[in-house]
Amino acid sequence: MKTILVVDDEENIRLLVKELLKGEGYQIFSASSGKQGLTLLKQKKADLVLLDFFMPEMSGREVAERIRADAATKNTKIAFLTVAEFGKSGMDRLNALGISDYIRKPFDNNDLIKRIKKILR
Amino acid sequence: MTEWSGIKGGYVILAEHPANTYFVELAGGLKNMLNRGYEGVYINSQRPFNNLTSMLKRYRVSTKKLVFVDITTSLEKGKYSENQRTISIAPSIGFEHLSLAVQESMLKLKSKKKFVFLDSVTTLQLYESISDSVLYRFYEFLMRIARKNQGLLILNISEGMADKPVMRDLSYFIDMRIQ
Repeated sequence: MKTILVVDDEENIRLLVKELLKGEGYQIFSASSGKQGLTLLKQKKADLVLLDFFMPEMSGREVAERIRADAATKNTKIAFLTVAEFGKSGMDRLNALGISDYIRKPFDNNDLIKRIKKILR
Repeated sequence: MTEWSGIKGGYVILAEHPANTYFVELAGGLKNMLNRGYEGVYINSQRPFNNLTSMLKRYRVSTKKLVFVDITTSLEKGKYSENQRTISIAPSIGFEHLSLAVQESMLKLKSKKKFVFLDSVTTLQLYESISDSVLYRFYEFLMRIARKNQGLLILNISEGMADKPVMRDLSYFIDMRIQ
């Protein structure tokens, strides 16, 4: 069973994503902050980290950089959740950071599932 | 601000100004936009509103095509002038206050060419009464409406602030940088 870590400071998003992806047979665990997410990731292996880009204290960008810098987690797949569209240079940097995809909020439930399946195929 | 060519609707623009000429450069950029037929929402978090308007006049920036969201006066419990958009707050500013003020201000603009001018990202971060979580949601909101409505979002900062964590995050959304 594939495992997904959802990191978002908005509880309703965490709950919704958890509910949707559980129904598709994924094992989900979640964190409300970047710091908490990194701690969880050290304890449990995840196939994908679904990461809110804008979070207080530690942003998704910083979390992603830390995941890539850690030998134990550097190959973990990462997808961002974001309200706004990235700029062109931002997209280039996301590619350099090895980000699998980014999903715009608010998202269509079916689209989210489809894209997660594609990343974890 | 020296280079304003190549601007396209939907762009998020980062304008960096040297600290010693911050306002001169900022006023130059504003004049440039207004001369091109743009109208804008000016989000002021930098200086008392009366100081701001008198400085704009001094630099011959017409305030007729600007609508102000004046955060500074709100937070300092200063006196509002009649024509400005203000945000009522106490004791803290919520996302809804900020986003509603901008949305209502946008409706007052008559030109199809619109911009939102944030002065400045780094001072907005300094207010303890606005949480980081609210600010991040606000930035996302501003970027989203700029992209969606083919308007412009101009984020002003002082030179040397681009390496602040918030700016490193926002830089992923920047389409154009003016120095």
